[in-house]
Amino acid sequence: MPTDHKLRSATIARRFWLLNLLILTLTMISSALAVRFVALPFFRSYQYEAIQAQAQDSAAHLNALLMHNRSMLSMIAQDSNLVNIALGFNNNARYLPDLLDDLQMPETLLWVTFYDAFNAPLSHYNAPGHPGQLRFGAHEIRDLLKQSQEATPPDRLPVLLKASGTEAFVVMATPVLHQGYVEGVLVSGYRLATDQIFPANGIATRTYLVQPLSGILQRSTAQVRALSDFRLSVALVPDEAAVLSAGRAVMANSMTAIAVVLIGGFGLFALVGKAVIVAPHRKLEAKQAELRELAAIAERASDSILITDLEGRLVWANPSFEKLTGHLVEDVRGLKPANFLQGPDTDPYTRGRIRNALEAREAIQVEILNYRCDDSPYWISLSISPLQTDRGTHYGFMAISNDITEARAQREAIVAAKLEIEHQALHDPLTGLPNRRALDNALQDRADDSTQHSTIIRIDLDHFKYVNDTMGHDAGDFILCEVARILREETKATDIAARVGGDEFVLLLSPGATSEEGRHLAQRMLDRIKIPKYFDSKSIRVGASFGVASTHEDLLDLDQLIIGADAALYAAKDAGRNRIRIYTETLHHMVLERRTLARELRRAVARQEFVPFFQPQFDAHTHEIVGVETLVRWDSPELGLLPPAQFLPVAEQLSLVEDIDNQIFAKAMKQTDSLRPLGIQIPKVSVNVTVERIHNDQVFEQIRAQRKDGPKIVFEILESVLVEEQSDLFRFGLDRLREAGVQIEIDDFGSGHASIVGLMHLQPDAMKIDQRLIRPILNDPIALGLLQHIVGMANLMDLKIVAEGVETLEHAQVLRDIGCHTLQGYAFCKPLPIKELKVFILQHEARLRLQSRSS
Amino acid sequence: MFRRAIIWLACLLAAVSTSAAEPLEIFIDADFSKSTASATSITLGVRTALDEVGHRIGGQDVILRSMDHRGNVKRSFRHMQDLQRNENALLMIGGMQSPSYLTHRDFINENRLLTLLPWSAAGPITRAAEGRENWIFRLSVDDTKSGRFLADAAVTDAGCESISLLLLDTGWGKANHGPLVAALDAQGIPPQSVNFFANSIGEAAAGTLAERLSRNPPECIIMLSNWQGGALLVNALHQHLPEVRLFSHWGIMGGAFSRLVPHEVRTAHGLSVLQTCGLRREQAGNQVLRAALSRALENETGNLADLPAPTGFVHGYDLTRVLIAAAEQAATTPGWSGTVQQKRMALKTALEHLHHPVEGILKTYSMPFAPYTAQTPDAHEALGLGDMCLARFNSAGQLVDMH
Repeated sequence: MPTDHKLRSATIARRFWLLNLLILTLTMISSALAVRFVALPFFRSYQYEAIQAQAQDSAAHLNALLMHNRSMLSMIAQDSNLVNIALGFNNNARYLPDLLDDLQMPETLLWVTFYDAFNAPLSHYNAPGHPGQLRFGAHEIRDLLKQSQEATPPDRLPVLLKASGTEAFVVMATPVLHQGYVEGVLVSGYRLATDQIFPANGIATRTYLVQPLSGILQRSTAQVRALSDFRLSVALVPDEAAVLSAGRAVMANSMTAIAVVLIGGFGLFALVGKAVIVAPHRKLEAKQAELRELAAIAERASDSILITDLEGRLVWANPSFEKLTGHLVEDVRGLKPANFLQGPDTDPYTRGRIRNALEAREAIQVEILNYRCDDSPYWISLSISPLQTDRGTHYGFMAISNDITEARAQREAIVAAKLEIEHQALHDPLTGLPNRRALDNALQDRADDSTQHSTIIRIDLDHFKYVNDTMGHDAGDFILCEVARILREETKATDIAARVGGDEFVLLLSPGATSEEGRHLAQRMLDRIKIPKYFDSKSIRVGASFGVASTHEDLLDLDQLIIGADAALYAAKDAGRNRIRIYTETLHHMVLERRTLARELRRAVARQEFVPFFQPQFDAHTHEIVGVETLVRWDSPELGLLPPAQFLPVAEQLSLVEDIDNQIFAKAMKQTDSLRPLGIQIPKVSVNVTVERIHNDQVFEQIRAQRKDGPKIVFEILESVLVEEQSDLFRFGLDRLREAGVQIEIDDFGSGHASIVGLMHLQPDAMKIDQRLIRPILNDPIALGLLQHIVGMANLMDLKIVAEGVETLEHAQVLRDIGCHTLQGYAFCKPLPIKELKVFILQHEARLRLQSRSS
Repeated sequence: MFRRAIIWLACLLAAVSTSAAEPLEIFIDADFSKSTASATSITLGVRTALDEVGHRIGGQDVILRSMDHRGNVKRSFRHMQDLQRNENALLMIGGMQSPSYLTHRDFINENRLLTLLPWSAAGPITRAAEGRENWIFRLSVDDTKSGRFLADAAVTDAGCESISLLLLDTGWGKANHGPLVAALDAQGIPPQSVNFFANSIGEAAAGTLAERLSRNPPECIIMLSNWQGGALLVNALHQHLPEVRLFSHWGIMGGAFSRLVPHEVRTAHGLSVLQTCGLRREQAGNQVLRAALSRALENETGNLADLPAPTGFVHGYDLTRVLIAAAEQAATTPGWSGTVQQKRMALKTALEHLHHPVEGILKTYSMPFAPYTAQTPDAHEALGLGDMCLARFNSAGQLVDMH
């Protein structure tokens, strides 16, 4: 079919073009005949007139050119100085050349010679770049001078002429007059380029300059015109060949122009004809072919396609329709598809949308549940488009649909999975409570709506770690779930209870709730949490501490509420746990003070405000000073002198302890060293160190930098390291320090685990007994006995015993008697700054010397 | 040797006989074309004097040859060369202009060309260069004195307190520049400005010059000009400086000056013209003048004013009378019968040693000339300061003596 259609179109087009071509050819032939017999004779006549006119023009042009030169020279000839030279009043031969050099002379000028009245040359001027060859004989010049001196000037001025190729040399004479008499003559020579003055064109091959009686005048073809002011003529030789060829050119050009116009006209006619006749025919053919192809595509399409009339009654459907719906087209033709395809679960809203779109003659795309012939449901994606004629008149609808039942099921599964993931992201998987992220979102929402106050309860289970450690993680998880259940049950739906850490929970109460309401709720929850729980038939007791903070009191903003609740929680824990604390104004001030302290501490580190105090240590028998323990004090310009208890906890939180230790150690070493010039040599300087400093490279370098003959350096390490720190790194650090000469003392022995095994492993040089074991020995025989055993154990392990907290001399005596080697305490001396230490040592040594002398 | 001597003698005799046969020629080298009045007046004066002696001087016929140099120095020089070559040409009588003789003074003196000047006034002409003979004689105003005369007339007589100079830019004008300035300086009134103008000045240039002068107007102007330029300048001055008083050298005579400058203009500026005192002599009824005029004009009632350039006539006449006397005296010497060169020499000697006084129009010339030396610069000047007068134009354009 398409081949037939193309053949028919080609035949119509060929006939159309042949007809056009034939008419065009006939028109062009008749035009050519008209030009040949009418226009050409007229053109030849015009050409002859043009030759004459050009000859006339050339003569006028040359006359004007020479007249211009002549006028120039005439003007110069009137120069009074030139006249004076002509008259002999002056004989300046350079005057004329200088004058001409200063003037803008015509380019054609070659030279000028100034003759006096007796034809004797007075001066000569050569135009720049011209050698000044006269090219004319003396007699010729003389004749010219003679003619120019005639009393009556001739009508046409005499000139000399010599032509050579395309150059013509012309000489003219200009008299220098004085009161009407010729007293000198300016003879000027010019070179004229005739090919430039009279360029060859379609009329003349060449134009010559001739003087009357020249042989060239004899030529019959030449057009000769005399110049009006000079004895000179121009002879124009017409270009016969050009005249002939111009005729041919006229013929050719005319025909070309006619051809262009005719071809253009016919071309336009052909285009219009093609658009009006051939193109619509082709378009119609193409449309038919396209429709046939579309029908074939619709028949084979996998999508169900159906056509209805404007009332929605089925007119046509493709085989895929039958396959999808199970209905035969023949059975349902004339019926409305909505009536036999839609069923009880079809969404009425979607049906309504389709109805509205049909009424409005608009396209619509929906997903809708349909029913097959056997009443089995299926989902389709349905596109309905109104059909209209070329003129825009609606005549029906086309509905295309495909089965999306499976795709829809997959999509719903993905949505469900997404919802689950989102839920998990915001909830604690163990307890099912919202997690920290959910809490943060809720707080953010609350922040966006800041019209109402908020209250938070922070909950931390007491001794929960113990449950985990002793009964296992399952028990721990059980407790957490129980607590979560209590939280859920005790809270309202608008409250948010979140698990934010291992055993930490936060309760964000409903908007507007106060601290007091929070306290009541906390109390209810505490009461239930305290009730023993049973896991695996075992009773488990846990408690909880509660911190309540609210924006009601205007102490906190919403974003500080968690921090406030934290502070209240710590206050509850500090107060003994299992209780509820509210973030009050007092607590608020404490927090602020702590914050101030932290700020000041940072500054103090930078300003090096920490100073060492030294408490001497004495030999238990001789009471000689055997060393000092270095203690830190903060000499704050704002807060005064502070003991470590007032700032170390905060410093630890701020990780400033290491900086402080470095400062104290360096200052202590420097200050004790400063006593050497006074003859005071302290045998031993003890410093308290954290475990981290044992293997700190910087500390090690500090030690190595100390002078070798200085005091012995002792690091006091808390007893807790005996059980906690047995790592290789720790041991490596310890060995390295020992090799560098540092002694190790165990500090506060007896206050913690008092691990004997640890002692055996660590092998310290001395052991410092906690002052809580020292203080009661005068009154408590058990304490004394315990101490005696510790000393005995130390002796067994070959450890020195240092007793600190020796408050009275009685203590000193007892301790000496039971075998302590070194004593330290207020009984002897309190911690002193270096200046006072210096005085004390000097006085103490003096006292000892006096005692030994008196004894 | 003998043969050669015979040939030489034959040639000499031939020359003598030829010269005896042909009249002596006197060239009148003047501008007969552009300054016709002066040239013709001089010729008339010369001719009148010669006419009195039947055109014979020293016993030989003389003819006058008018040589028109048209104001062209070169052409005048050619006339001198003609004189040099011409075996019959005795001497040359100059015209009105000075430039030619200023330019070719040395040529004249070198070639012993006897030259008599009845009008040319430039001072250096009659003062030969050092070591040269002096063959130029003058019976006219001498500008070495005219400057002083004009300065006296302007300052002393007219009482001018500021004076500008207008001088022709030729040798004549330049030669007068120094004496004029010196004369005014001597009067205690240095020139307010000195202005040279071209020989061929036109109307526009004259207007420009007058306008320039009017920017700082002088009370009086002393002018040295030819008649053409003079006429243009006076008319232009009348436009721009209507009250300025004018004192002119006589260069403005000898042409159509009085025709071109209206009488009211001349009167408005009290135009005074340097002259020799011929007019005064006429007024005094000088008999010589009367006789000369009646001979020249061929009527009894004619007077000087009827002549276009009376100065030329008077000077030409007086100078020719002196020449005739000198020729008579020279004829008594052997040189007069020799070649023309010898005649010129004899004549020069006679002029410088004239034995008898010669009665002329202006005065009786007693030893008018003397041998020239550097110490006697006026030796070839027949007139002196006392022979100068001022004249004015009457309404008819004729000069009348001011006194």
